[in-house]
Order: sequence, then C-alpha cells, then structure tokens
Amino acid sequence: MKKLLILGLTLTLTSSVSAYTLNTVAESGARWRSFPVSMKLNPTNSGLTDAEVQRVISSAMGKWNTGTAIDMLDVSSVDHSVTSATGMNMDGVNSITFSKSFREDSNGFDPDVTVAVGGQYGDGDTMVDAFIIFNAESVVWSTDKVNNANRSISYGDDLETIALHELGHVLGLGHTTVSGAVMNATRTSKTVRELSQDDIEGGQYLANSGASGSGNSSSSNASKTAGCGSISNNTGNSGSNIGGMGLMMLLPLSILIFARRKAEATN
Amino acid sequence: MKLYVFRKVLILMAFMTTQIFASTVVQLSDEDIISRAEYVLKGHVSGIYTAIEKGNIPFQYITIEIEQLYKNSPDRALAELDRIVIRQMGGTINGMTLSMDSLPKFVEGSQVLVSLKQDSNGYYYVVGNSQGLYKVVNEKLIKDTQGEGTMFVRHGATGEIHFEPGQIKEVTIDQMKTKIERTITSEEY
Repeated sequence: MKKLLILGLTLTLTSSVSAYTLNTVAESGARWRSFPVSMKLNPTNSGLTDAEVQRVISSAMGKWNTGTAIDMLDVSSVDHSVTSATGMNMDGVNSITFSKSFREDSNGFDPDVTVAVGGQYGDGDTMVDAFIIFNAESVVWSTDKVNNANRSISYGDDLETIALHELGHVLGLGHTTVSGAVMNATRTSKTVRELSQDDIEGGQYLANSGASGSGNSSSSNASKTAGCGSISNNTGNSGSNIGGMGLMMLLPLSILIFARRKAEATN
Repeated sequence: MKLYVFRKVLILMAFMTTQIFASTVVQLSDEDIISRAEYVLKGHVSGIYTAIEKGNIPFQYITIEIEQLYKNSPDRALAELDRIVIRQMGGTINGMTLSMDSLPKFVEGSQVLVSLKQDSNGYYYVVGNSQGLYKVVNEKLIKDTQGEGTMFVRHGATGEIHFEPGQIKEVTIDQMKTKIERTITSEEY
C-alpha cells in the first residue's frame, strides 16, 4: 500500500500543472498590439530547401494559431535580404534566419551549446521587434520527425520542435515548468511538435492582454482565459501549484485505498 | 518479485523525467561547465552598463570584481587582473528593452560564482549561458535557471531513489570548490 502511495505521489509530482511564464519584456508589461505578427524568413544556410523551411515554419506558426484560436503569427515572405546580423537590429523587422557564422553572431551566448537564439524588443508597453537565429554552424537541421527522435544533438535537431519553442518566445512567453510542454526549457523527447494546454493558455493570455480584440480571434475560448487570476508569471509560484495539484490527484487514490481496505475488512 | 518490478518502474520513470537537453541550450553538468570554462571565479557585480552597438543592438557590459579565482587558463592567465567584463546582448537603453532567452541575468551588487570563456574578439561570455552562473547567498551557491522544472532523480547511498524538484540548485562553496578541484585534477591526467 505504501508503494502505491509513493507511486501516486511520484506520478503527481511529475504530472502536468499550469505554470507558463512570461519572458522579461512581456513581464514588464509589453505586448504585441496587433496580430498577426509577421516574420520575414531567410532559409539560406539551413541546409534545407526554401520550400521545406517555409513549410515547417508555417506549420509551427499554424499550430500556435490553431491552438490559441487566434491568428498570432504569419510568415510574410521568404526574404533572402534579411540576415542574422540585420535581424538582430531593433528596426521593426521580425526575422527568422540561419547563421553559418554562429560563433560570430552569438554575442554573449555560448556557441558550443546553443541551438537557437531568440530575442524580443519591447518599447514601453509594446513589443516592437523579434528575431530567431538558428545555429547552422554546428547544428544539422532536419524535418524528419521519425529519424530526428533517434538522433543525438551533435548530429542534428528537429526544426519544427525548436521553431515552435522559439515562436512562443516571440509571442512573449518564458519557460514553463510543465513537463512535455513546448515552452519547457528541457525536453524528455527530442521531438515535441504539439502544443500543450499550458502553452495554449499562455498564448491566449498574451493575445488577449495585448491586442484587446484587434487580432483575428475566431473563438470565444480566447476570452475565457483573459485576466485569469491563476496565471503565474513567476516560476517561484509553481511549487504551490504542484502542491494543489498533488492534493487533487491524491484524493481519488486515497478513496481507492480506503475502499479496498474496507472491502478487505468486510471479507 | 513485486518489489523488483516496482523498482524497475521507478528507474524507468527516473529516465523519463531526467533532463536531456534544454530546448535551445544543451544541458551541462557542473563538471561539464567547469571543464569547458577557462576561468571559474567568485566576485561581485560592480556595474552593468548598456550600450548600442553593431548597428542598433543593445549590449550589456557586466563588470565583476574578482574575489577568488578557482580556475585559471594556462594560456591566458587572469592572475594579475582584479576585474573582468562580460559582454552579452540585451538590456534596456533609451526606453527600449531587449530580452534574450537563456542568457544569464546579472544583478548589480550581487555576489556570483561564474564560469567564463573568452571569445575570438576577446570578450568574456558565460559557459552554458544561464547554466554557468551561481548567485552567492549566505555563503551558499544558488542556481535558479528559469524553466528547470523537470523532476530530478538521484540514487541514495543504499540504492534508494530520491525525487527532487529541479528549479533551484543549491550547493555550498566548499562543495563547489571540491568539484572544481576534482575536475581540474582529472583534466591534468
């Protein structure tokens, strides 16, 4: 019985809880004030064709749009004139690029362990610029989900998995403590191509606290989470969430144990 | 037999919940970080300055007054320096803020233990990004890497399994000194 309790507790502690956070700019109150956020894409250096990269990035954006039921992101065009160096500038041009000179472009990041870099500019209460730079110097990018699941990071990485995560940062999300979520900073699987409920709630919160209906919201779900009092924008709060969830999940287990004991006593 | 199966399940769960990679940054152990670093030092952040460079990009210059040097590069020794400056993208200037995910966040006046490397331009950066920064609080080292929410699992002295939340990592300075010494010694052999 004790083992059952330990197992229940273990499952409880490792299970999902709502705990999305905001990145530094969004935490200070900055939001995108209109949607969709259009990004220019330059697939040069990716090792993949323009069409492949555009398909994967569009797919990742589509998942944020479908999940949140708001058209939040859009690849405006493939634009070969945008580079990693120009993309980092605060010029109001949102960009996605691949850098073959990542050591040069990393600017304070550890180039040996960094797979992709994401940055967002905030001007007062408005997000004004965002960029994603994929490391194409030491990472081999791939779109093959099945094979990517078995590859080591030194060999290659799944473009859609990383794109989904980085696009969450573009929207203003930080890292979540929810295991298996796209916005978790760590992965237990090498391919994570679907948003979790926690990711979706985070995206919806940002959309609704920002554009105030100026976006192309196509669902009433979005408004349900706006201004939700349980929203955590501080990872320090996640402990209490885990505790609360733990009690909720232990309750049925306790009832089961109680019922079994009662049945044993009756027999 | 049941106990054996139960242990197997726990071990399997341990593997499932152990962190493999950060999604944008490869996860490193303390030993990995120390081994990769040219310098490991304790000091206090005496200043943070933000400037616009490379066109229109904010860069932070973080000055650290060195109090203790635990690892020194044989090629580029820091022995004679009493301060170093870390340069990284980000910061606030002219009302504009650049937020960079995964980069370490320094606070002016705080005491830190940091693992550094020098880039080809001569600037210092933190090894493993935010993983290479410990804050010194009450003689303890605390690493609070945002998003490290996965449960950690370790085996105890008698083989028992412990589950620990991974959000905040805390070690004593003595424990870290021992890790540094061991890592440096193993590198020498």
